[in-house]
Amino acid sequence: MAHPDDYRDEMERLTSQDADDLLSGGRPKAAPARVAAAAAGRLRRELLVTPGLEVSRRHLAAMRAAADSESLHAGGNAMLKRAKKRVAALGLAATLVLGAGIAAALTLPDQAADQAKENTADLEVPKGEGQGSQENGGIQSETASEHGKAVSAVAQDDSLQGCEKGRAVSAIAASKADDNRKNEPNGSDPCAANVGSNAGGQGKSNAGGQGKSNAGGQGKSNAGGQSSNARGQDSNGGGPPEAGGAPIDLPTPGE
Amino acid sequence: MDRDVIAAARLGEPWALEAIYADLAAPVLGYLRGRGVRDPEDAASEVFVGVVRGLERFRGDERDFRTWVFSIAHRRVIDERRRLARRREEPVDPADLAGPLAGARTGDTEQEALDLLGEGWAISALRSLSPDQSAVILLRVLADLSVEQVAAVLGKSLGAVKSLQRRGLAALARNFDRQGVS
Repeated sequence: MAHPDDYRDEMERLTSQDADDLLSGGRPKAAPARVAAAAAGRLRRELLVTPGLEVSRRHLAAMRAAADSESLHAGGNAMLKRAKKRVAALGLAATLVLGAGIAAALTLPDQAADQAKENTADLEVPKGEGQGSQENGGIQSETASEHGKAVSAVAQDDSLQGCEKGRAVSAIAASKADDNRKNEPNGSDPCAANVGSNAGGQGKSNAGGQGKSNAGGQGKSNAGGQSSNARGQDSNGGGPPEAGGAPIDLPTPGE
Repeated sequence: MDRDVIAAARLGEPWALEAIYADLAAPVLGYLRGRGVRDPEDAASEVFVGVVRGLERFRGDERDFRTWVFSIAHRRVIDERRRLARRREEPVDPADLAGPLAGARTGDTEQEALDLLGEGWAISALRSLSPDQSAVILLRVLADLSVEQVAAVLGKSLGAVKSLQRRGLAALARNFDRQGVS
């Protein structure tokens, strides 16, 4: 009797090629492969059994039902897809029509329109040289154009010659500058504007820089304490009168 | 499986469905039974329903079709194993056990003994194999799939399938010879 290990060795001699051949329907010649082929044949005979009639009917009925539901499902899917497309198209069309209608028909409320005008009236839009803003600049340029024409007319006038002509051109050209000066709120004298602001008692420049709040009496730097006051007093006293404008009599701390 | 049959089955033609079933019912059922599925007939029904539902998406020739069908059957086995792994215990009504046992008795004692012995050997022999060896042997022997097709079904390399089939077959032959089954 062969030892079990010998048998095991014999079985282990079943090569991959033998196994492949016999499972592919070949007829093996080696002993291990013949046993393996017999085992495979037995397995096939026992397990490869056609289902009974009743089982087959049940399976086929399930398959047919699945096929029907699948076709219904496919049809339903197609209908659903078509419906979705229609709804999407209608929605898009409605949105477009509504948007166009709103853009064409709807105006801003009166208050909003007024607010918009107010907001845009003070805007200074940078323009090219010689171009003013839409309203004021337009008027100015028109006036300037007329003024230029007038100056040009005088300059081209042949009735005047020499120095007289020059004076006439100068006079008419300067008339525009005079008008502009008159139209300015503070006049054209920048010094006058400075004097006005100093006399306003803001205190900044009157104090000569250091004693601004004490001099002006605004009390800005009173929170700074005594040292601040003293410093202000000193600077006021030592500051040049022209820098502070009109001299102001300040009360000293001792008084 | 003819291309025309597959095309007709896509349209739900009853004759085509019957042709597919006649060609594949026995190997599918045998595969499920050999893999130890609890209710192989119900599982086979699910597999064929899955085939019908998936026909619309299937692309390939007759050879691919067979591979595809057994891929569905293999997935069904895997699903059941996962389900059973999640639920270790499943109570069974004793009344449910009486039916199958009573139905198995045909009155022919010799035939019953042969059936029990036969199925007993095949199932017990397959149980002695690893799950992968069992799957490879069944797909090769019952489904007549090539090594390449088996590799596609199981998602393994050709070398792995060849190794599994050699070892599985050797173990099966040992078991066969030891039990004296002829």
